[in-house]
Formats: sequence, structure tokens, C-alpha cells
Amino acid sequence: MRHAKLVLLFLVCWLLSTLALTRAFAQDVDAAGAAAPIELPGNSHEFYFTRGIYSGAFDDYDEGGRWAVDFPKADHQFLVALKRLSVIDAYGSDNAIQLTDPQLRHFPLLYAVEVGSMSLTEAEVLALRNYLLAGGFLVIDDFWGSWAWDQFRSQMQLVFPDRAIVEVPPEHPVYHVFYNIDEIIQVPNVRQGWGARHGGPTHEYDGYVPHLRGIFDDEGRLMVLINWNTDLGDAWEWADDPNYPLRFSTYAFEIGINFVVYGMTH
Amino acid sequence: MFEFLFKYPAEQFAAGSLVSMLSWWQWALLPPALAALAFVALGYFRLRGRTQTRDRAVIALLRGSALALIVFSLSRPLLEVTARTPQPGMIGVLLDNSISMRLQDQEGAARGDFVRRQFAAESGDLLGELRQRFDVRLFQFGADTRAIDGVDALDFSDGDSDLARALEYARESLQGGPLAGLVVVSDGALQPGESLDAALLSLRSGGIPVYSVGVGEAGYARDIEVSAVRLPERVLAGSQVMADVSIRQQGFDGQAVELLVEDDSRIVHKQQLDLRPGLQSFKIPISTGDAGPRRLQFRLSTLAGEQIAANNSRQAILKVDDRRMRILHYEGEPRFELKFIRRAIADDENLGISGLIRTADAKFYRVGIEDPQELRNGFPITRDELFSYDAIILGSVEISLLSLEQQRMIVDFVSERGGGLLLLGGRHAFTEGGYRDSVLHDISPVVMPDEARPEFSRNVRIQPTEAAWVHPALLIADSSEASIERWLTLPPLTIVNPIRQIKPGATLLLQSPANELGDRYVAMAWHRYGRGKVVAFPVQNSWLWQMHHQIDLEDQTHERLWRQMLRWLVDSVPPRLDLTLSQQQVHAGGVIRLRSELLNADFTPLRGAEPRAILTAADGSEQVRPLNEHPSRAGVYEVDLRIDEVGDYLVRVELDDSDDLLQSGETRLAVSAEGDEYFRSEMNEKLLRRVADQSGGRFFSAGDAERLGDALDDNLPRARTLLRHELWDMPILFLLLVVLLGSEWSYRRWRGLA
Repeated sequence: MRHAKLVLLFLVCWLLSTLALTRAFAQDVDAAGAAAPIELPGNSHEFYFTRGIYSGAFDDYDEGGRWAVDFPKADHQFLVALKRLSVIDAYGSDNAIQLTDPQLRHFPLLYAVEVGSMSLTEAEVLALRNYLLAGGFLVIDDFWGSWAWDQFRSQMQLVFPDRAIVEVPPEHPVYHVFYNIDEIIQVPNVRQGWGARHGGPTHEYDGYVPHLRGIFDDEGRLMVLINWNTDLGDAWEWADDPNYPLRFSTYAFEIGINFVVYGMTH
Repeated sequence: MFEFLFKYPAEQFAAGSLVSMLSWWQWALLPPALAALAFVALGYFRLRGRTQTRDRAVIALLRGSALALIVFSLSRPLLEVTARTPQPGMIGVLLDNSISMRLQDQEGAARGDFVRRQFAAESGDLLGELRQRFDVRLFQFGADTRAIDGVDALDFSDGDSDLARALEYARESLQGGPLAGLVVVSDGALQPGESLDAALLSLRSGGIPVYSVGVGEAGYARDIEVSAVRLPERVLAGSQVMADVSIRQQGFDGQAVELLVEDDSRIVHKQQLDLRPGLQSFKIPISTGDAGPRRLQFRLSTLAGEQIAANNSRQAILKVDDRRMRILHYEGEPRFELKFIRRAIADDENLGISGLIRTADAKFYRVGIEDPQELRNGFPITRDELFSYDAIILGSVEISLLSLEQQRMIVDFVSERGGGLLLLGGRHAFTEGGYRDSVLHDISPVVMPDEARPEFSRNVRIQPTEAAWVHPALLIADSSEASIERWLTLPPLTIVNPIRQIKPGATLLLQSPANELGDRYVAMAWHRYGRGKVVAFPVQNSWLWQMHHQIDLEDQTHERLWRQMLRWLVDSVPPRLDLTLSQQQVHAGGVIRLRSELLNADFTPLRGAEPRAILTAADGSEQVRPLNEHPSRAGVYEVDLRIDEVGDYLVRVELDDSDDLLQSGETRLAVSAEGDEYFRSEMNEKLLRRVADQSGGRFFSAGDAERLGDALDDNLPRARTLLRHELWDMPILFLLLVVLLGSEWSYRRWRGLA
């Protein structure tokens, strides 16, 4: 009985600390304030790094939703790197938009994270399908393990019941369009990244092996690019942290820029 | 009375001079004769008798005068007169033997019947009258010209008639004789011939006037005609082309007629046309069929009461290419525009875009390349490499990313190679990209402002101009009306290059609405530069017509627009072997000129080649003719072809030891009995008057033709001749002689001397 109380206490502490850490790292979750896109494309900039706002299973518990993890610092830091390293005429701030917003299609590249909690409404399914078929490009990031995969895959099956999710082969242009990416690296979150400096694990849950998978259209165009078991967003967000390993953030910027250049040219 | 007494009019005596025909020895006899006469007279005066001196004087005067008259007559007096007399000579009468002379609009009968009636050997009124004054030589002209003995040789079956050649032939045939003039009897529905002006000038300087007699009505009361069909020379397979069909009608105002367009007997378009007075032009959209030279027939239904039905149909040849046209798209920064253009044409097997995109300073990405070596060193730096493309798209790429040599090569690419150039809008395009002072501004269809305005940005709703309503590249729906409506509902785009003016000769296709100051921004304009096209599309983000939330997912406007635009940009790019015919439809026996232009791999003219033309008839029989190198135009080869058999022919040009030159060296030729004779077949008074006026002759309608003989007399060249009229037998001389001798006799009787 005594042991049972200790176990229960440990579990409660663990749960509370996990929630606290999650809240701390998911800062500025202000969905209402970030939902409106800033400007129409073309008014002043060619490219808007746009984050997709979707309905999630834990929205009632999260303030705003899991879509906003690392938002907006990750987006800002990525844009700093993108503008410095390329000649892309990019808008320098964040731009989040609901999947059901009619103006979604004005932003042909969309970034979405933590899709293990994704639970799309019918309207969102339809909007996302139309967006992708019209020519939009969706980059998925930061979801780990088989449980999250299953959840995300079930959502994608709602969007494209007949399209398979396949590994993106290493010779695919997305690996070479700007930087040559020879190896898919597992990019850890900031906590794991700190630990990785001392030989700690980089994975979360059972997501031991990073994958780059995709959904292609009938012409072979990559519509959805899925970074599974990796967290590019954290690497962007914490790139200014001296304790976060440079190799992860460097890789995250490189492949992130590749995604953008690919999305703008293919 | 004067002429009765003196044989000749007084004017001739006034203008002429009196001479004698006596020879020198006859004149030498005159002094002794006069001396003998004086001796007799002296003896006569010395006689004494009943006569008084006065009597002798009177009698001597009378008799001497009589003797003088006799001597005058014996001296063969002549009146010498220099006169301009009509030149007796030949006239050549050219009778039109073309098939249009069968038309029955000459006083209810066929035009040819008039010719047969007037020039029949025995009973022809006009021929008979002319033959009374001239040596008349008859010719028939049509497919060729030849001398004929009579009108029986005419069958009015020639499909074409070249007047210049006919006139030259008749003149040469009658050369050496006293040619007084030529008479052309025709309806004027004929080919003037390239050298008609020169021929008429030559005839005039040679003093040979041409008198024309117009047969037939000068205008039909009720007729409808397909006057012309204009099509682009070549187009890519699967493209839509806009045929420009001109229709002329009289007597059917307000009625409707059905136009059918057939591609080798397959109906590809059907449309009701409302007829208005005079000449009308219709833009007819045609979807091209399979690759190869296509024969398109434009056929109007026959309306009740039409006088000529044979001119309701006209054909045109359209070369449909199945070439893969390569387009180089150069961008100075990654842009969604390139992505969506590539996506729009992804299914088009005839178009391929190779993209070269600067992604960072001195860093480029190639996309859509067809060869690993393609664009490996960036934008082409050699003519060969650049000219291997069919079109270039310059996006948001500052001019400094192109060397001066590369800029000049782009100019040559358009003007010499015949390639297409599309200038897209963007923050590094036009003046904002530094193009204002470059050679590319010289070839641009728009006037770029002097000052760059990098802060400028306007969202505007693009409006088509009238020229765009029927432009094949900008027809974004199945009909013109639907297309205009669609244009006006498309979402706005962004213009960051404020251009307000197009160059002289350029065509404005798209523009913004007028702002509060009345200014409009150019959204699309184009013009031809040398052999190629240059299009300015100073719009930043046409991809919004694919991705805008107001655009339905199934909407194909963006794809259709770009596919059509790029096809139109490249469809007239000449291949390395091209051939053209001087006419696509010719009558049997007619001569057409085949011209072929051959280019080397670097698109410089190919000299010293030995191409040959192969004509394949429907039954598979072939005629092979070598082409001759043009004496002054490098890379151009020609041959004149004459085909006597009616039918549809495939015309092909081949070249030994060629690499891939044969890809488009084909066209078609229709040889018919009538050629173009039924078109514009009303009596062409304008042409016939021109022939007469320029040569110094006169025009007559058929009804006035009986005055032709007089006019020929009046206007024939006159010869200056010296006329000598004998005067010895003038009645006045005999009268005077009788009076003198009678007076002498009467005097003697009166004086009692007889």
C-alpha cells in the first residue's frame, strides 16, 4: 500500500512536470491572435512562411492547440535564416492561418506540427484536400512514435483515401534543391538536444528512426512532405541556445530551406 | 468646188509645195523650146495683113496661155504634202479563256457567249469591223497564252489567268509587225501577275496601247463569298487557332448563313453568321487535329437566289507540328510563378520548360532540364546553346545577371532565330530590374518608364482589350463572349512594374482598369520583332488564377491560359527546314513556286545544299524536282512546279545527309480545275481600266464595244508620210485650156479673122 502511494505520487509529479515543461516550451500559444494572415501575397512579398491551424484532439486542454507548438519563435528564426541564406523575397514574420480560411490557397506552402493530435473536421478535410490538389504544398513536422503516426495517417486517409504515404527516396530533388542532404538526421527537441550533447537519446516515445515520407499527386508532384520522428521546429526555435547542438539546427535550417525552395519550384 | 477643180483640198495646197516630175534632160529641152516659141511669136508679130497689132496681141496672149497650160501639164506638176496618216497594221486581240467566263451574267447569257458571238469568224460583228481596218490576230489566254485561228478554240476551262504574261506573250508574238495595239476581252477576274505594272509601262513606251473590253456584271445583286481565310502558317498539335474569315455579300443583309469548317471532311466547327452589308471579318476558333499539313475547308451554306455558289467555299492549309518546343525560363529568385507555369503545362507533350533559378547569390537551381548538361554553366553563353530553345521567359531577374553578350544573343534569338521572348513582371523585371537602358528594352513591346519604382504595388483586375477578345492565346472559354465574361470575373493580380505605354506597332491585349487619374497599366502587350515575337506580361502573380479562393478547384483557366500563351509564343518558330508555296490552291496546269529555307544547327543559313522536292499524288505516284539555290538569299532554295493533274498533293522537301531536318518539311497543295476563278469573279472594271489607262488605251464595257474600232483609229499611232499628188489632170487645167482656146476662136470670129 505504501509502495502504491509512492508510485501514485511519482506518477502525479511526472505528469505535472511534463505538462509544465510542455507549456514552457510551447510558449505563446495564442491561437486567436495569430489566426489572421498579415497580408495578401504579392502585395509586397513573394513568400509567406505560413503555419496551418487545425483542429486537434487536445484542443480543450491546450490553450489554443498543438498546431502552435514552437510558434512563433521557430517561424521567425527560420525566416531569418531563409532570408539570409537565399534570395527568396520572404515576409519576415509569422503567418498562421486556419485550414478553413478561404485565403489558405493564397499561401502555396503550409507548415504544420504536432499532427499526432490532429483531428480534422469535415470542413478542414475538404479545405486541405482542395488546397493540395490545387497546388499547395504541406510540410509536416514534429510528431513522434507509432501512436502519433497512426493518428496522423488516419487524418490523411480522410483527406486522400486512395493515396499512399511513401518514403521519399534519397535521390528526390527535395534533398538537393538548395543543399545536398545526404542523410536524414533525427533532430531532437530542445530537452533531448541538451541531453544529446552528453550522449543522450534524441528520440521521443518509440520514434527511434527519423523518416521523410510523402504523398504524391498523379503527376508525381510531392504534395505532402512528412518529417516523422524529428523536430525541425525546435531546432529553429532553439538555434540561438548555446546548449542546443549546432549540427541539429544547421541541418534543420538546411532541409527547411530545401523544403521551401522545392515548394516554390515544383 | 475647190476640191472638184483642183482635185485636192485647199489645205493641202496651203501646206504643200509644188514640184515637177521632169527629169534634168526634159528641163534642158525647155530653153530651146522657149526660144523656138519666141522665134515663132516674133515671126507672127511681123506678119502684115488684115490684122492689127491689138488683135495679134490678144490672140498671142490667148494662145500663149493655152500653150503654157499644156507645157505646165506636160511638166508633170506635183503637189508635195507631208501628212500624218493612220498606220495600217495589226492588232492583237486577247480573249479570256478562264473558267469564270462561263458565268452567266452578260445580258442573261454566259460571258463566253459574248466573246463567241462578237469574234466568230464569219458573223462576228466586232471581229468583222476590226478586220475591215486591221490585220486582226487572235489569242486566248488563261492558264497559258497562245494564238488561235478562231473562237472555236475557246472552251473557257482554264483555272487561272495571268494577264501580265499574256500581254507579254502577245507583244512578243507580234513583234516585227506594225502592231497598232492590243485588245483584252475579259471579265477581269484574273491574276494581275507580279509584273503587270512593268508590262504595261513597257507597252506604253513602245506605243502599244491596250484596249480592254469588260464582260459581265461589275457587281452581283445577290451573292455571298468567302473572300479570304487567314490562318497562322503553323501551329502545335492540339492548339486552338483563330481563323480570320472574310465574307463579302450583296443582297442578303440581315440574313444568317451557316459556316462549316471541315478538316479533311471532318466537321471541326459550325457557326451561324449574321450578314451585314459589305465585307465582314469573323474570328473562328479551330481546334487542330493530328500532326501534319491539314487542309481546312471553310464552307458557307448556299442561300436561295445566289448568283454564284462556287465561291461559297475556300480552303487553307495549316501545318500542324508535333514538335516538342523547349522554353528556357530564367528567374532571379524562387517564385511561385514558375512552379505554377510548369504545372499548367505539365500534361502538354509539345511544351517543355527548363527552369534556371537563382536561389542565392551565385547559386542556381535547374529544374525541368532534359539533359544533365543542360544549363550546367548557367544562362547560355553560346549562340548554339541559346538557339536550341524555342522561347525564353525572363522573370524577376535583374539585367545585371545577363552579360551584354547574352543580351545581344537574346535579341538575335528573337530577330534571327525567330524565337519567342516573354517578359514577366516582378520586382527585378522591366525598369525595376534595370532593363530600361538595355538592348532588351529596344525589342520590348512596351515603353519602360525612366524611373524605377520599387515601392509600387497595385492589385488590379485585369481587363482584356478588344484585340484580346479573339486572340488565340487569350481565349479562356469556348466562345468569345464566354471568354470576355470569364476575364471580367477573374480575381485581381498584382502589378509591381507600372508601365503605361506600348511601342508603336505593338498590340495591347490586357490592361488594368483606369485609376482615378484615368491611367491604365499595361498587363500584356506584344509585337513582332524580326522573325520572332516579344510579349510583355508585367504581372507578378498570375498563379493566383490557380490558387485564389474564388477559383474553383476544377477551374482550368490558369492552365488553359498558360498552355495557349506558350503555344502561341512558340508556334511560329521556324524549324530548321521550312517550306512555303506561293499558292496553296492552284488550277491544273498552273505554276507555283516552292521555296524552302534551310538552317544549320546553329540556325545560320545552310548554303550549298541540294534539297529536292517530292510531290506525292493521292494515288502514291511521285514527282521529284531538285531545288535551286537562291542567287542572293542565303539558305533559300526554290523551284517552280507545274502540275497538270487535278488532285490533292503532299509536297515534301528532302535533303541528303541531313540529321533531323525532315521533321516539318511537308505541306499540301490542292490542284483543281477552276483554281480561284470563282472568287471575286464579278467583272473587275478597276483592273481593266487600270490596264487601259496605264498603257494609253481605253476601257469599254461590253455594251460599248462597237466603238472599239473608232477608238483604235483615233488613237492609233500615225506615220509622217510625204504625199505627192499629180496635178496635170486637174479639171481646172482642162477648163482653162478650153476657155483660152474658145476665147481665141470667138475673138477671131468677132474680128472676122477666122
